[in-house]
Amino acid sequence: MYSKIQLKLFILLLFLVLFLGSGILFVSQSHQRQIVAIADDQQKQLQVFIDDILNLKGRSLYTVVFDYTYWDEMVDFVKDPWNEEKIRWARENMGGALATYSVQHAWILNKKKELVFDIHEPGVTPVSFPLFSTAFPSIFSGGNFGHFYFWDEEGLLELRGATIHPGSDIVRKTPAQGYFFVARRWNAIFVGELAHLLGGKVTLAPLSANVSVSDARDSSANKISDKMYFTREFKDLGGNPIAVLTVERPFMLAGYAEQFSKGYRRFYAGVSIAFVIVFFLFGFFWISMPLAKISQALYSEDQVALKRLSRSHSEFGRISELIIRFFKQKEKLLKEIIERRRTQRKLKDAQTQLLQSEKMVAVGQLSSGIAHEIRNPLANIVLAVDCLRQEIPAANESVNRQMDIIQKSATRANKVVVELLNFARERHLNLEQISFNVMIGETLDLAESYIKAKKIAIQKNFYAGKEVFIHADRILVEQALINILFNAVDAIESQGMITINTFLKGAGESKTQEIVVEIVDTGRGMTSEIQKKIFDPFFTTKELGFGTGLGLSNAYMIFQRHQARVQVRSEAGKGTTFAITFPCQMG
Amino acid sequence: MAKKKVVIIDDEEDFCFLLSKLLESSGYFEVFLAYDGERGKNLVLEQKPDLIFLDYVMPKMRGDEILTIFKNDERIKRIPIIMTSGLGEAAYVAKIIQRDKGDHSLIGRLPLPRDLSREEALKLNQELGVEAFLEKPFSRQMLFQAIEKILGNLS
Repeated sequence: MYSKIQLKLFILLLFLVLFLGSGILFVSQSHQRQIVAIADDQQKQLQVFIDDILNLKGRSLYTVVFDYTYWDEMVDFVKDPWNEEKIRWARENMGGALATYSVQHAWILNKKKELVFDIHEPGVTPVSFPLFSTAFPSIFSGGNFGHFYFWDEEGLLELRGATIHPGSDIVRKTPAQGYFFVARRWNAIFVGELAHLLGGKVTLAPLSANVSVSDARDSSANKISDKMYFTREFKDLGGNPIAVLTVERPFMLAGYAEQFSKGYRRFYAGVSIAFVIVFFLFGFFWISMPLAKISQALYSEDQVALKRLSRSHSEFGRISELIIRFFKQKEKLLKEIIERRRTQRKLKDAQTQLLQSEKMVAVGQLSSGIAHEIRNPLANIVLAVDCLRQEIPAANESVNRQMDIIQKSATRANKVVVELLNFARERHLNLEQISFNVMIGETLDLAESYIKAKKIAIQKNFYAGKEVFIHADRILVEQALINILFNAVDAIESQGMITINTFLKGAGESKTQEIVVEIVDTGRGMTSEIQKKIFDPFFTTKELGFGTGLGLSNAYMIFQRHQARVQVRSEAGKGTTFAITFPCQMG
Repeated sequence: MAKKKVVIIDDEEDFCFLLSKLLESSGYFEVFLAYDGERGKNLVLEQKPDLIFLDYVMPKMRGDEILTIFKNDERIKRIPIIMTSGLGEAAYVAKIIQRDKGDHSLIGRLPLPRDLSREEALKLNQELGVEAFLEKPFSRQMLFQAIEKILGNLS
């Protein structure tokens, strides 16, 4: 049942599925890219945001360092830091600053970079701090302000420093009078605040020399991480990174991407399967099956199956219809051909018979004229001799003999003419219903002795069924048959056989049945030339004086008058068959 | 006994001569000859014969026209007629006569009619008014047989 067209359809289906797949893949990919773009965008935005937050958070530290270093009283303190009153001032103001600005430590150094005052938030572990002096150049390399970080056992410390100037010198033109440093501890609370502000998980970790700052973000574009990572490095005095702040924020869309991906895959799989099933069903019922039925029906020429198909309202239906019509035409044509052939055969038969009849009629016509012309003189001859006999009473033996001869000759001539006339004339038919086999039997009785005398074998194959009758003139028909038999005998030169077959013809078709008698001889046969002339009057293959050539003609005429058909089959050297077909009636 | 008068009407002179010779040599007959129908009729009227021999195939006057004339003429219709013909059996000729009505130019051209049965033949003879048919050639025996049948014993 799998027709080639199903294979082609299957290939088409594969293509369709591939197209669908690639379409879905494309959409999925572009979705992915969209999400990546969004992620990137978000990343950038968040980075800016995070930077802003960090800056914001660090702002206060800068403010304190800025504001408190263009202050006359600060200058005063630095000049005389051991003064108790000034120390009291410093404690008060610096303490306030610590509280106000959420700073944990502060140091003041004099012009000579010597530590003259330090203070820390109560409860906070004081920080033992390395000397600044050696690092000063780098701290203040950018100007009057410095910013760096320090990592100790407590964690990260953010430090800012500024040069001290009188209050009027906000721009810090004058040389530095001293140095002020503050430090903020990035403690858990601070980091917590950051985390809260940043809206993500914040981790602070020291950076060891051999650990490189890795981008925790998965750089592969295919998989979208559900987390976003941001980092900030903190550098120490020497400019080396000593800690890194990692902000982890969830990326919501990643989950969606994953879902989409899965969703797409499921959709694709489902649709493909449905496609295949539907396609196959359609293909099978709407194309494969009708096609198979049509080719099957065509193969076996089954019109019933086609008839069912032709009712379908589709091309297949139409095709089936056309095929049925084609078959019907074929049948019609075949019938016509058969009919035509039959007609041709009949025509040929009739023509042959007619030709024969016409020949005979012509002869008949000829005969009567000739007969008349010959018989009158013959009559004269006979009468003359009679007269002569009267006039020569004492005729001698010789004379008498001669007169006898004359009369006998005339009589003989007359006989020939009579035979001719008899042939030419239609004798009155004395019809009776006779059993066919009986008639054949009688004929054989008459001819048997002659046949056996010539040492010819006789074989009889007679029809053995229900008795058959023909309407015929017994004497004439038997005479005709004997003519044929004698012809057969004469055809056999030395030894041979004559077979007589009788059988029925045209069983059961119509009421008029026919019975056939065949006379087969193993004689010298006839060429087709001779066959054509065999029934012609006066035609004979015998030598002069051995027959008038009227026997078979006569027989043919007799058969014709009985509505019987005569057929000859012969091959030179192989023998001859005469077949005579009579219309008959069952007993 | 007086000789019987016989008229032979036949266009063949030789035949007439021979037949008359044969008849006269028997001693019973006096024969008169006519070679055509017209002269034959006149001869018959003149001689009032006891017997007429009439040939069927003759030029000029049609064969059975003569027959009809004779049969319609009161004076001669009772005279018995023997018809002669080279055409074949008696009945057959009678049939031809009936069909052709004496137009014997058709002989040799038309298909020959179906043969009559014996009964039909006799009936036809009677209708035509022909006593007997003699088929040419006939023997002396056949001739005198026919004559005696009509005229009775001759001796």
